Amino acid sequence: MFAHLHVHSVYSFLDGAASVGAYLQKAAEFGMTAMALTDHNCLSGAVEFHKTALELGIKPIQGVEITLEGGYHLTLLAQNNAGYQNICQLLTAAFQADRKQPVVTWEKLAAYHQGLLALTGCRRSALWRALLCNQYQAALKHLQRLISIFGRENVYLEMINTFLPKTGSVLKAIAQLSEHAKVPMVATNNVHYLEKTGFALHDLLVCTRTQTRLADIHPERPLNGENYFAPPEEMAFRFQQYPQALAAAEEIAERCEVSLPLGRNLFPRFQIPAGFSSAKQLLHHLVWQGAQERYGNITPEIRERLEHELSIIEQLDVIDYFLVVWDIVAYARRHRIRHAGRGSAADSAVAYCLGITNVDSIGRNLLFERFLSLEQARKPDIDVDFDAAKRDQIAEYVYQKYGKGHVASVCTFVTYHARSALRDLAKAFGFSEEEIKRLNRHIPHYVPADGIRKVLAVLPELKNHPLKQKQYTALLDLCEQLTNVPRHMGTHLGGMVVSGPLLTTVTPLQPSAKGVLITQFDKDTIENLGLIKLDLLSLRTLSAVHAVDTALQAKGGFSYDQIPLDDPATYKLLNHGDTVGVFQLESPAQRSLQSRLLADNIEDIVASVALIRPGPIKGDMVEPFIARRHGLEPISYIHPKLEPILKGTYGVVLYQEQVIEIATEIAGFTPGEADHLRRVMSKYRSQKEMDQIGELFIAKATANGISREVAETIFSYIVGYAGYGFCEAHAAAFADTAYKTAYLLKHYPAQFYAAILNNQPMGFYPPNTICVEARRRGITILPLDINQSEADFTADDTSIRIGLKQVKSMEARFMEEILSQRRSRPFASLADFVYRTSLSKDVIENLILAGAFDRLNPNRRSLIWQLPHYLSRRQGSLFFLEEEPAQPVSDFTPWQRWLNEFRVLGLSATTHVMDFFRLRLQKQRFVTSRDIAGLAEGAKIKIAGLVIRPHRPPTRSGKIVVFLTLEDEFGLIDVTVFENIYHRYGEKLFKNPLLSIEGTVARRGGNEAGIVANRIQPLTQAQAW
Amino acid sequence: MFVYHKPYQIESIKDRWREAGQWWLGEQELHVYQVIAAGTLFELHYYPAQSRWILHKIHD
Repeated sequence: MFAHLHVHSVYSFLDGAASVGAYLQKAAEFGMTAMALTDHNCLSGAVEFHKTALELGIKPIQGVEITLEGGYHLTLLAQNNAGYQNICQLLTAAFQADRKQPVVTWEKLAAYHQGLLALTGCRRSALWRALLCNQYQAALKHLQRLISIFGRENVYLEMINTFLPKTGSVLKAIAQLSEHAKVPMVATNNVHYLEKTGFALHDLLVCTRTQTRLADIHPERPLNGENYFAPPEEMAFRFQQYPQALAAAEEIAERCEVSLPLGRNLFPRFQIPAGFSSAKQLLHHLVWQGAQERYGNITPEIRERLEHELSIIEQLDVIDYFLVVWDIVAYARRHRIRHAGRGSAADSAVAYCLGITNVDSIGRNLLFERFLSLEQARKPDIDVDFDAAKRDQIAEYVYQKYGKGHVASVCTFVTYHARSALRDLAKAFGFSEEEIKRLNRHIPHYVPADGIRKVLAVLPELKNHPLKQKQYTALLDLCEQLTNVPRHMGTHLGGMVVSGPLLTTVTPLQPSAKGVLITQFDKDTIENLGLIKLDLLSLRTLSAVHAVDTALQAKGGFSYDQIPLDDPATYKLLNHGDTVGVFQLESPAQRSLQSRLLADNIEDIVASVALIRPGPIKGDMVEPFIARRHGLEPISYIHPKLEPILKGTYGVVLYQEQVIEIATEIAGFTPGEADHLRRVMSKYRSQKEMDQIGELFIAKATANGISREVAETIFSYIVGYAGYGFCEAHAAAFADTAYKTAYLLKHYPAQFYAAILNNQPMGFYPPNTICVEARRRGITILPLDINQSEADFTADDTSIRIGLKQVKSMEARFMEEILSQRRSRPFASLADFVYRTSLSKDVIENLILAGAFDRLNPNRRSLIWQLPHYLSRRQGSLFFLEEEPAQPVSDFTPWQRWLNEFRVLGLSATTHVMDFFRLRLQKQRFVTSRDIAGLAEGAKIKIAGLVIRPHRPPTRSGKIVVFLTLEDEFGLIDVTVFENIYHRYGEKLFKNPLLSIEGTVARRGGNEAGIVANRIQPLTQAQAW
Repeated sequence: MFVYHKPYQIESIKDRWREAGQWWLGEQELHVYQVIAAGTLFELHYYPAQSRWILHKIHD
């Protein structure tokens, strides 16, 4: 049976228009028993190809299409694992020479040829190019060169019949060459898409890649749609003159072995320091030492738990992994780099004793098997957050310690979503930039490429969207085909792999745009190759915490790590929902929850972090949790076995661990089955999969003596939870930071907010909102001042000074220059500043507009007017303006001053935009955020402000509800827009930065009031009411 | 092959290819045949969607 040996999938990035799975399904339908995957300079599809092919009973042949010197293509197939490794080496070398145009030299090809079969390539190969120009001798010479490297028995003359001009004569010449050089011919179809109809999308992708439009001519544009995954009978038709070429494809398929090695452990062996005889001994020593520090007295329970975990760690052969992570975290501690372990690693007491996490999993009764289990035998995955400013230092430590050929970042695939699909395809169609902007306007960022039609139908702000016009039907049809298609490769934010053997034995490495070496496999497939991923993440909150901790320690008497977990003032702040800036607890939904939950201990914070997630929201857990927490609703358990599992959360399913425990206790699921349930739940892409596992649950539960009715009800809790829920360990890890940042906000608000402003972008709110909140707390925001501002925002107990870094286009070298010059003497005037520094005109203008020179001359327009004159007289200028600057002009209006300042700073020290509307609004009886607190539930009010973060989270009912925050000069008001109002006013809501809203005051049983909107208008139209 | 109602025997096919055309404007797929008949090169176009043959060019 014929086998396709030259196939490009979506991992040929903008040159393959079908997925690996789609090709394999088609191959299975045709009865093919083998297939090769040969993406351009890329092996990213290899693992998916290998696993899916074997499942379908198809032999996967790993291959690649490389670019040789001269830009010619060559097809290589791996006969065995040595061949696969050599492909990795060739691609690594090619990318290292040129990241954007990787080329394999003849020298490298000769060095790494073993285990490979060479097919002479497609129409862009040296051989075809020579024959198309009737240069038979040149073609023969090229063929002989390949023979000299690979050996005659490993070279095949590639024949492709896709009905392009001169194909007939070239195929004849190839047949001649075959006779002459005694090299067999092989038929391929240089496949780039699945069906003939896939040609259109492929053509558009080529246009995108070559930056051309459909109407343009480009040598890479395909002439016809014949490069599809043709059935065997079609191939037989095309090669009826050369049946031996078809037979050769079968022969090659027979020759090649399955070459991808999976399931190994390539983690490096940790270098044991002197005094220890093995990694096991070292790990045990560190764990018991850590246990002593953490617990003091090691009880039998603690001992048993630690021994259990250590045993599993040993049996899974991951001792070295824990030591590597311990070592990294120890390095961070030595260098005072703040860090926090997160995720399921917090289920591990060993991780706690090693100092990797700060969650006492024994005290919290967390399941170790959620993190690691013998049955699942999955590799561990430990995530650690680091101070964002120091994360690169940590990565560099890892590179230095393990060697550059053994460490790399993990890649990620940037896939098409609605907006990117629209942009690329519209550009290829030849639409203007203006039209492309118009088509993309207001399409939400999260919409998948095949979700455009749905949002056009559902979202009111898209009611009159131009994409609804008939002329864009074809565009939308094509966009749909791009769902989940990777557009290009990027770098995973924190994922790194460390390997014992060289990484190039399993993956090609290529430099990212930032110069970091990345694997060609992403986080979902890298572990199949025997590599274990470490997640060394950046968290700006930790940078902010470090800044505050350092500043306060300098004053004496403070340590972040010693913050008490029972400070009443902090809980009072939380209970008022007064948490803008607090890690994980600052969103409107969280602030509303805090004001209802009334937390008074750290466990409440752990629950808070887990409650505002799609899982508990859709599962209708939030209200029952709050009611039962306050004793307003009785706690009942549908079966007594649920009580020990759900007691800590008042009978409500809150954590993923609880779902696993329920499955184990009620249905007797094995750990493996329970983990499968967890994964089905957390992905929840397939209703069919959920139904199947439901049937298993109910069957096993009833066999376990549970009545069917009870089993179905319990499973409905689990289904309701599906979508996404937190694991308790993760929630606990986050809660620690959440509480402590709330403590900082309560007791050191100026220093805390300055740290947040210095570490943007971070958090839920923009810098201007942080300033509004600071002012509301009585902190003065001091304006930018060329003689007072430092590079960063600076704070004392009562004020925050805006930093130079906040100015648009400001660079580090400019700030250094300003501060250095200022050290000798302050700047006396704008002229003095211009003459003493080398800042560019744009940046100086921005400083003026931001008010940096106000104390020297408050007339900003005058300074802008004078600037060119001073610049022309700057030392070293050959030309200068002779004329004196014009007489001082009148300054900008207050509105213009504010607008300019906001444009270059993103915030304003002294004026809020609502100041310009307040007088008029007061006359129209609008209230402010300050007034809301005193109003009764149900009061009808009018309010106005700047719109902050309108969003549509999932709801219990499934209906659309929009939450937004209005910011005025006094603070924030949270607004809820229910579906009927959203449908009526959605367009205005999302298209206007300033809104006036008529609504009613709502208090959901807590301390803080919000508004339920009834009417929404852009602010400028308020008079019309 | 008939040209101006006169039959010509195709002696050989010099070249043949297929073109997708300006598919985005609705153009149909085209099959092109360069054939030798009576010592002359003819270029024939075939539109499979309409089963239509056209004599496109005679090279002389």
